[in-house]
Amino acid sequence: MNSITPTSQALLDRYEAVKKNFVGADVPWLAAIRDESAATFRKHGLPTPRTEDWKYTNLRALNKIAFDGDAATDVNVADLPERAGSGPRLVFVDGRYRGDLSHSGASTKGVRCSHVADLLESDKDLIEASLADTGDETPLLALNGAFQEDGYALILERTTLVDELVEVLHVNAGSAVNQPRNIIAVGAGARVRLLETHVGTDTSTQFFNGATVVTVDEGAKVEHLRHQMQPVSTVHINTIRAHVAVGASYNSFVLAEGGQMSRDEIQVALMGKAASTKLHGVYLGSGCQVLDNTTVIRHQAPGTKSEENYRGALNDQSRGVFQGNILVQKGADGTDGRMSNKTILLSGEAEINSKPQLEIYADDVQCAHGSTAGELEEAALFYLRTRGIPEGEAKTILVEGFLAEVMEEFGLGELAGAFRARISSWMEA
Amino acid sequence: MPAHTETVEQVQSVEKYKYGFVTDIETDSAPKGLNEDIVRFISAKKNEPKWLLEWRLKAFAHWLTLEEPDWAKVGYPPIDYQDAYYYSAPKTNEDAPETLDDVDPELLSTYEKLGIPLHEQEILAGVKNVAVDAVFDSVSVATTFKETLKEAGVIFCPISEAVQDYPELVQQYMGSVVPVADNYFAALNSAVFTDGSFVFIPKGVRCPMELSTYFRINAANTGQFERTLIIAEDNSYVSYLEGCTAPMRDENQLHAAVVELVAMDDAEIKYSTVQNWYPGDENGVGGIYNFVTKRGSCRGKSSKISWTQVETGSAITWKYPSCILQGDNSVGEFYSVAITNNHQQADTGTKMIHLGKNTSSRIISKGISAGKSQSTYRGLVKMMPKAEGARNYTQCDSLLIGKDCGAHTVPYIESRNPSAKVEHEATTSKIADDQLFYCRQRGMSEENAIALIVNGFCRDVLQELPMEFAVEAQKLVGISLEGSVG
Repeated sequence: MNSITPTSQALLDRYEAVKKNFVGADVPWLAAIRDESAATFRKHGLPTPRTEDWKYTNLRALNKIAFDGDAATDVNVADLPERAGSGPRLVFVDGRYRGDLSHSGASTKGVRCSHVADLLESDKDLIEASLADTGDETPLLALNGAFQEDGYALILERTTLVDELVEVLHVNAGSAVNQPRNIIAVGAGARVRLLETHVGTDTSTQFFNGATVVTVDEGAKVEHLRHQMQPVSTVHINTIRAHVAVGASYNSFVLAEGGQMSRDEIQVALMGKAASTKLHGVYLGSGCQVLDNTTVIRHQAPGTKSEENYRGALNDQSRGVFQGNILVQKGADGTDGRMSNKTILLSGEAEINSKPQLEIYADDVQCAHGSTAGELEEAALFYLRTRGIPEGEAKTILVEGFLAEVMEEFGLGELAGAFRARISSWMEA
Repeated sequence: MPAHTETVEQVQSVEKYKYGFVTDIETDSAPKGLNEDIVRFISAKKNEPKWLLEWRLKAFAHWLTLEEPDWAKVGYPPIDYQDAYYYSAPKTNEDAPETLDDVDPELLSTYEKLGIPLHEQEILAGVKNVAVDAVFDSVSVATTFKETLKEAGVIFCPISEAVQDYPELVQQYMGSVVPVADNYFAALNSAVFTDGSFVFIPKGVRCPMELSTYFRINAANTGQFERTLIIAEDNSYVSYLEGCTAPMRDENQLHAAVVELVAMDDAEIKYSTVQNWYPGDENGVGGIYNFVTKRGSCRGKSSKISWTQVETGSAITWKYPSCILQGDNSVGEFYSVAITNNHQQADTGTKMIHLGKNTSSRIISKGISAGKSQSTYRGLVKMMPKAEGARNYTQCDSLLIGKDCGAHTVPYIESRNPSAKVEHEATTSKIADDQLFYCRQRGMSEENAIALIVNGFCRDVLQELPMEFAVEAQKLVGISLEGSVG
């Protein structure tokens, strides 16, 4: 019997104390799933650096958080970031849907852009299925399963094409823990793009632990963009599980720049023939931040393809973590998997830990990975200096160029400008 | 004679123990099992000084507190450490085959393919009453070697002999690279090691010949817990070969060796291994468990340690030859070919720890899996904050032959210095059909074609081997993959 840490116990105590007040506490199947998730979490507790997957990212920052403190404050509407487009935007404050702050956008036939708590009756099966994963291998997913109350639900019927960008804004305002559980379910041949933005107020939530379950049916396409700009007081963990069917694709891009400790974990199962995924990301670390990007891609069917490209710039005493795992199961012949991670260290105290892993059980595969770490190339810097560009500016140009490559490769469309501007302003800060 | 007195005291203290082996001391083997008394027994048997016994006991005490590591990608039934012999004197010839005709024909055919002379075959197969000297053209050859080395000032002897003859050197360096408490298997080895090689190259000496365990006289049956220590003083050079391409049968299933290398200013050590222990049969029954800790310390400035390994044997290989690059401008290299077939499992790689300025390291690893085998590259490259201008280049390629095998890559890259540059590349693929077709079209059999292609795949590593090894290793690559196609 494992003894769990006091922090894990505190979370469980909190769960027992508040579970009666949860949305849907009176729905028996939902309450059962929560209890089951809590039990799974109890079995493992919070991961420690002794756990291989958490070797480089320590959750001890959570020890300082009092999970029973709830300073409910409202958000100032003026503080919310502007909408990126004219499509719908769902706003969640401390994990609860806020209809008054959301925009429904023009309604498209076959699309439901809603929140989970609203669908408990109408879509019980779908919700139950997506919650059923209690996360035996991912204790934080189990923890999320216990605490989840609400989250966005993006449901597309077959062959529905959504042209507008769907936006979701998560605002952390005052609660000590915020653990939304989201659902993306896309029918065969449908297509959608989603931008998730994570912000918080200075006095905001200290522990964000979100999870999203994605199912992409035959030939459908999902593009999932995330911009994580939490305040530096926050511990931010986001776990995504995507199941991709025949000929379908799940593509993800994450720009991570906030939080004292941030982990974006994506687990993609390429379940059908010729399913594909593209996971790209950019991380910008400064101060004492720890920015972790962890990905697991399971090639389970023949002819599946994955492409991964993460780049980051780290300043001050910040630390970057990249853990990529491409797993090719027996029978997944004709797999093509590529992974790349490159980091620029801008200061003498910054640190990068990179673990690009391949685990291959099929023989007809092409898999490759590469990883580099170092400082800006002196020759390039010198070149710019000889053209009369001051050192600071030259560095900005080079770092921006280095990171922008990933964005261009992914194709961010109308968001490219905004994301690029974030990098410039980060460099200037 | 303080050493002598110590030993006498030693033996007396052993006698005081409840389970003491008063009579066993006279015999040639210790009973099954592992406890403090066995450690004392081995030490006493080897007539060791007190400090070494204490060192062993410390290791043993620490071993008891450790748990067997389970992070490697290998699976095997639990080992019962109490159900093994930890000391036995060289075996008698009772059960040995009378002539080569009594030897397993499969083994003989392998020897033939490797082109091993008849006399050597007899030695390797353990045929009765064959003088080892015969292989080396009588004792004179061995004596010549010894004399040449002596003239140069090189010490090359069994470590048990070094403990008696050069205790201060052994005491100074043993355990300084792989501490007794380093890991489970190293601690076990420290407690119960029986023998191994000791090499000392004094200042400014370039060792006049390649040293090989093959030529080490008087070290037969060093057993399962081998311990090797090589020290290269300032400006010296040595190339050391370990193992042998011919398959070796061994009674002991568990092997836990420790190898420590120390290179001082401007010194260079080249350590080459060809490991071809019994891998078990095609159904995965039997085979050696090879859990080895190998580590080199580049202590001096501009020193260099180079590991080259060809791993084709053992049912399980757990081995990470590493370099601690402490001296400024020091260099670490790791060249590896690991071939697994049938049910073999190999989890091997390296660690390059960069501490000093402008240190550089290069890792070239080639893994080939066939049959139902699993092969893993696991490596760490670590740039510490003071490793200004350090450089690493890693390339690990895997080749898969067949549908039931696995090839895995688990690199850890940790950089804490911005001026350090780390580059890592890895690929996994199967033999391209067009390559195979090309060879077949020229009239090569499929097996030969694969051997040729795989040899090409491994060339970067094989060419690092000393000449005579390289030739045999190439043949070995082909033989190891036999039966993997068709």
